[in-house]
Amino acid sequence: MNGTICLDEIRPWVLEKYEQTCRPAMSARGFCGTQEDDLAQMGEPVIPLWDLEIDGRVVRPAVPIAIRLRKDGDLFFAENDSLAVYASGASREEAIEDFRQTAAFFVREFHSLGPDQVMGRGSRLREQFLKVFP
Amino acid sequence: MPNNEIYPRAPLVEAVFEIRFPGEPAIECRRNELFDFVRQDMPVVRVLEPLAGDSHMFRVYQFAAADDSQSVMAGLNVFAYSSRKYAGFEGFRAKLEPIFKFFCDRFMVKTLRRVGLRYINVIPFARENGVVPLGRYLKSSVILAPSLPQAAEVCSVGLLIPLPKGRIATRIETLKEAKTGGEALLLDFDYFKTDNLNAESLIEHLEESHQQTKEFFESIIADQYREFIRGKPLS
Amino acid sequence: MPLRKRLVEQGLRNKGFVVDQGKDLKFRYFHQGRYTGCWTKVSHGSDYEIGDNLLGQMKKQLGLRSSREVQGLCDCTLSLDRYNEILRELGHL
Repeated sequence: MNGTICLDEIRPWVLEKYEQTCRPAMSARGFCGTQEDDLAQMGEPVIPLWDLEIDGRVVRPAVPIAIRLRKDGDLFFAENDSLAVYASGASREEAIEDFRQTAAFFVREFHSLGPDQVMGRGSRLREQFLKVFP
Repeated sequence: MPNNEIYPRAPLVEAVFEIRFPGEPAIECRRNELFDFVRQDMPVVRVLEPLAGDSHMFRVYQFAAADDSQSVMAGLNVFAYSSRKYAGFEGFRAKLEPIFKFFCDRFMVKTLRRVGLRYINVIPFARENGVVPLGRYLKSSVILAPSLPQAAEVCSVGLLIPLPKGRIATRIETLKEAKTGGEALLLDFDYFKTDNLNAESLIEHLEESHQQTKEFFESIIADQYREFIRGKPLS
Repeated sequence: MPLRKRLVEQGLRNKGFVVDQGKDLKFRYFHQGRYTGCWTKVSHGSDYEIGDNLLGQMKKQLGLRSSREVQGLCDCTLSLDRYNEILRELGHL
């Protein structure tokens, strides 16, 4: 199974029953491209970071966090520049899990560091992490 | 009360407004007049051949923008405007209104059989424990029976829901991109009416369709996902 | 010569990066006792070659401009002083 079900396989039955009125408005993609092309054209899809598990607790970010996903060679990458969290894995799921664990690590670290224990990029990141995960 | 908010990160990939009417041969014969009206913005011409089994469909021509951001599609008994760069209802309406007015006046389309407004959304997602995290994005869940697991590895659901003045045909389906294996949820809904339609009230039909589809979208998306598409997430 | 994990570990330890042991080995850069926000990581276990794709990510983690600078940082052709200069130029210090 490739992970999708093609509605065309049951289409004849659906069409027979609902044809004239219920066939949806025609899409421009009937002329060029497919729904899968929408995915391909999206480039690097972005998915939300819903929550993190930190020391057994589930913590939700105070502002939405976008994880940028991409594939490069044999690896998948999950990244967020504002938090400087850059993770990778052999699959998308692994990359996202790596992202979550890396983000959780830095949440703990920045909470344990005072403002006088960071500098430059570290200061900016500390401020960001404390704002997003108070 | 429908929410008129525009979501900066809305997952919308295409919006289509379509009318169907009794066959009008003039459209087949004088299609060039429509093309002349739109050619400045939509110079690309394509012809859709009906698929095997689509015996009910007639040949449809598409006039599209060079970047495919918008197009019109016209056939013997159908006319549609599609936008793939939807930036809000007002802009969408402003673009299609003169085109539909021209079309209906020029080809004397007065009686309508169907009016439909379709929004196609594609929402990238990552699996959680191997299943589709439907509940993160939609207020739906998979409940076939209380005793069965409420999760799915693959999803393909089609629903036709009656509403007071029309109906909504909805598809919720998992999509997979061949090259990278990227996955997304297709949220495709088409609000349509088949009764008490006429071309003079087209814009009223459009506005009503927009209200209904907006309410539908607002009702169906999960609150957490709404927060994500509403704001400027940290990226 | 391709960069190898062992060289990364050795090079960064020699430059005084602080090592955090967890699911993987994280290396964090502290300057004058303060954390700079620059870091990278390698997996536990046996040695492996670090491909261009991973090098590209390490560059972002370490706050550098190119994979060549990452390589230099690890094989010591890029000195700590030069690393600090680059970080200052980029506003990371």
